[in-house]
Amino acid sequence: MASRDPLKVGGLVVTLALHGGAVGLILYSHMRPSEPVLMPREFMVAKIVRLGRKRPKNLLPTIPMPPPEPTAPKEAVKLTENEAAKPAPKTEKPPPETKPGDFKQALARARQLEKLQAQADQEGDPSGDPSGTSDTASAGDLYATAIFKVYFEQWKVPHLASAQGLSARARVFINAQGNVLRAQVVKPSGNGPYDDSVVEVLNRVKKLPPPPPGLAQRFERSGLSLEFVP
Amino acid sequence: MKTRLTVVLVLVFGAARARAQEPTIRINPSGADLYRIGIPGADPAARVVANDLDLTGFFKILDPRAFPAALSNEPTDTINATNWMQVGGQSVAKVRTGSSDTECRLFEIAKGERPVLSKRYSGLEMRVAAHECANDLIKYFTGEDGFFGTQITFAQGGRGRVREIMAMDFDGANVHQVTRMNAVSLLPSWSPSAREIAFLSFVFGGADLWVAPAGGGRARRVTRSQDAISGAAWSPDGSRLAVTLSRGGNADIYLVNREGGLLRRLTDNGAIDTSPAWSPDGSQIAFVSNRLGNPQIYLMGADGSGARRLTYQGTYNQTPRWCPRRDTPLIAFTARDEKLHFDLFTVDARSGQIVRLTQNQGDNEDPTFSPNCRVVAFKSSRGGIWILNPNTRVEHQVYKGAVEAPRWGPAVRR
Repeated sequence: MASRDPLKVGGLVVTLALHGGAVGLILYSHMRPSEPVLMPREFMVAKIVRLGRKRPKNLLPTIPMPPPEPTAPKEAVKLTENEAAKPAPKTEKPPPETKPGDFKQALARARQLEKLQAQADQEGDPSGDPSGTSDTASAGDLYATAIFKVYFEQWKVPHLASAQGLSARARVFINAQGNVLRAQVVKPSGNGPYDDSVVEVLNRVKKLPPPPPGLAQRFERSGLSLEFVP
Repeated sequence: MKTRLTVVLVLVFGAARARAQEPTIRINPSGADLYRIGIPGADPAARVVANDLDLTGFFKILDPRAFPAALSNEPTDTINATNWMQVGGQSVAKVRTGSSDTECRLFEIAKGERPVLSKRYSGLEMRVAAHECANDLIKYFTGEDGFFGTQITFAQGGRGRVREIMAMDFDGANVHQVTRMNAVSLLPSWSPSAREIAFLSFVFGGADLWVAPAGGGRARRVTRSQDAISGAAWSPDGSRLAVTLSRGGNADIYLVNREGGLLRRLTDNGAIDTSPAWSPDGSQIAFVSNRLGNPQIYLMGADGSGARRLTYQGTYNQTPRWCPRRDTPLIAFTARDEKLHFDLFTVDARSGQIVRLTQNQGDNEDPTFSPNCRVVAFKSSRGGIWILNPNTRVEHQVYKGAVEAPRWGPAVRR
């Protein structure tokens, strides 16, 4: 029986060491400053549209037309020296009479707004959209979105090459200030006009948003991977 | 040694795995552009190529008058990429007609000063060689066959007592008379080989089906006038024609052979069934029927089975024409909208989804797809025949005279 004691002690030590190691590893990984990670994501560009009256189902579809350009009213471009023709000076309306209750209501509303503002300040990312509601976005995702926006706005693909299934991969090297040091197509689509349009936009974009601090060195050394898909 | 090798392998595969998992930002385009191409020189073949590419609606042809002398006088086998970039080009095509051949070269400016495509056409008439050059350019850019060198047939329009069947190159050149019937002739239809054109003619009072050689020549009568007839469509294998016969005062669709022998009745009801159009694989026929009140587009099997309604929007839909590509189940048709304007639409033969092609440009009728389905030719109240690219909405007038029922011929490779 006594001869088993050293084994038991040894086993206990090993067990403790293993558990301690596992717990220590978990604690260590949580204590380390986490590096923001760019997640591969599908982006969808949404536009706010004004809904019109619903068309009856049996009517033929129409081609959406841009609204007509606004034209200045004729009076606005009519120049005259005739004093009499000038519009009469506007008479300022007297301010509405205030009642004692109005001040109280305004004050209450201001306090409510201040409270809401304070709540809004507590969540979200300082560089996020003020109208947003999420406080869960990570720095990596925000940065990827910013990069997407820059290239999205400047890239137009030729109709000629609008066939489905084309894709070109590129690598962009940037420094900590966001200056593009080098940009190159690493895997062309094989379609000349399509690849030309990618090269064109890569050459045109000289400046990107500065990368998050944890990623600056990586983007300068290894570059940022982009995939251009129609 | 073995350990070192293992370490190296682990490092290599580890790096590869890390690269494979590397996050990638997917970029989508904010829009689409016309492709800018320069075609310098006054060589007639170069101008034909420029016009061909312009008519596709995919290109912006840079104005050669705006080129500096350095570009206009460049040698034909190279380009100065920087100079071309400055005038906004993305590609340059150089076409030169020699005494017995035509040279065609394409340069992609981003790829440098050497041609990415170089062709020589010997023993061809200048326009034919130019169309071949344009076909090769389109093949290079899209991987698809072009439609340059094809023809469009049509019936003369107007109210004359004599209206013949005509044909022209798709770009409006070489307009010529196919028939000399000295009567009203209507509704031409190409044979799949592009060698013959079937049409209706009122030579003997009633409407008969006739077939004439596409290049002109003696026409042969296919049907006799015991039944009024309208509209004919050649099957893709060229062995049969779907026609509308009006027996007992009611129009139905029948199959006849090349000699006019009746093969089969495809529709049988009290409504008007007309305007048959074959699917490119020959398995289905689209047609117009008013069996539920208004004329709508219907589909049925080539043996007349399984007829079903395809369009549910619009109250007056007619002239269905299939896209000749087997991989694109699309039918173009004419519809009258709620403002009583006739315009062009397409309907997906599978989903039934309708897309509008024209709007607010007069009345546009009788669409007919190019062989690769990239553009549509049609008759317009603005005059003559127009070609429209539905993607870019670029359109061009290719013929100015009064026309009826234009039909785009098949592409027949040399």
